Amino acid sequence: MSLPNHLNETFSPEEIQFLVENEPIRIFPRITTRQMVRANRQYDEFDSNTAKQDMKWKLITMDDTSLNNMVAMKSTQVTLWVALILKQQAKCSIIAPAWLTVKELDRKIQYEQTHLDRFSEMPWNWLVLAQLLFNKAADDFHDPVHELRSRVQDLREIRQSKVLKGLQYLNESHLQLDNLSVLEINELRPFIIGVMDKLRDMHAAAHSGSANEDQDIDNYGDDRYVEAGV
Amino acid sequence: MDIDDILASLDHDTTAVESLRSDADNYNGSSTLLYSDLTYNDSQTKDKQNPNTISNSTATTSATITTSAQDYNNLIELWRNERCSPELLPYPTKLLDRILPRLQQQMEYIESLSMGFISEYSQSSKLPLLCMEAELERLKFVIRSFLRCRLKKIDKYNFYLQSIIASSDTDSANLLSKQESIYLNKHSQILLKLFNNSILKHMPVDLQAIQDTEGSISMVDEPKWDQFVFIYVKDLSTQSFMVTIPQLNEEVELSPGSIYVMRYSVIRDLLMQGKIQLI
Repeated sequence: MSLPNHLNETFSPEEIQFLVENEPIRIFPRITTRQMVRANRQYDEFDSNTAKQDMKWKLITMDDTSLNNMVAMKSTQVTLWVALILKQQAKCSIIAPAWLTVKELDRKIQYEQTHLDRFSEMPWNWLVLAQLLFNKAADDFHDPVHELRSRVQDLREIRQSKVLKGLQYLNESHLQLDNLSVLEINELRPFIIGVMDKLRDMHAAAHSGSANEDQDIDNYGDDRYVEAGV
Repeated sequence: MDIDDILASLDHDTTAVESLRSDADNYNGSSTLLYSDLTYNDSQTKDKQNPNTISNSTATTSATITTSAQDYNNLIELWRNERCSPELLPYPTKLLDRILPRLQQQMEYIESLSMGFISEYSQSSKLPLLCMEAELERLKFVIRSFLRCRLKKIDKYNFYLQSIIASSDTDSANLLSKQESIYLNKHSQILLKLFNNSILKHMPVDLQAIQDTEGSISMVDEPKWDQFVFIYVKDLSTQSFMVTIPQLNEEVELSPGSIYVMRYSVIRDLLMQGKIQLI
């Protein structure tokens, strides 16, 4: 079909990375794009099609004012994928987010170990962002990268074991999974949804006699029961 | 003394630019616009007519910048919803009508830039061009993936969609784009021709219908309304929602900012209002 089967109802890890790359991040530029007031006076500011000395950033999916006003070594906020391109060209250094420090990660690990019934509050993109920054911006961290890596790995393993424990509560009604990150959800999605769908079908098949009247009123269509029977 | 309200009102009407900005931020918060994105244009024209706002050129440009970023975020969200939901969601006509011309314009702009590139600019400032091209590719990828996902669903729910459109509810009016409805018609014609010529014409007359819902198994594939989906309750402004699962007679409280695994039929209305997001 028009969409490959493995992308059916879930995302590929690359697409998850794509989503994360749309988030803003702070950087230290190493180039200056802010134009002098004097230079600006010579041309009409709003006529962007006429040629100028320095090329202007004109982007259609994000706010480009911050990119046109970069001053070297003055921190600014840009979208992650732009930051990665700049970083690749050695035109900026990326400021790691506050949670990506040894101290903060240690606190999170502590929290995970003391609260066995819940996940600590990590940003929704922590795993992907950490991976990206370790690979592409390893020289920008204040803490040594190998320590950060091992702590992120620890955190991931603790959370994974909690997920495994949580899987015994799969049921036919619902689940609540606060603070689970987008990559963790994505790797669990096919399994959780598959199992819960089957549980629901079994439940529905067992109770179909009594639930039939509600069914017709709610007009949900009874294809579910047909599928359960197939 | 609590002066937050006074400070907020002072902040609000310092300049026209600010008020437009904050209005644009309000779109962000107002969640109704997702599937009926009329609100955008309405409030923008309202702003222009409003005598209090001095709409000079800076104000309008800053507003369009905010909305183009906002449009992109909306598109991403719609893409994620479409990928995860079991049914075909309404086609965001207005949103794509804004994004596609912008895409075209940007392509022409890059073209004209790279034509004049050698003479006008020094070699050192290639960077903006590189990023603009990368951005274009990213945007095109999202749109492409979004449309392909919709085509897949149109293939799958072929007969079901036709029956909905034939029944001509108000819902089905904005379900498909023009091209998609052409695709639906043509594709099902071709499919029918193939089946008719190869198999169906050899069958007894009362078994020749391809959309038979009377037999032992319904031949019209409907979306699995009760499929489980991961949802994120994104409307942080309000208190939690109560939903009931009719099959189990069970009430569930959805608190803002949390993630649930839920049946699609239960949360469909909240999704259409843009209060939750599929992840």
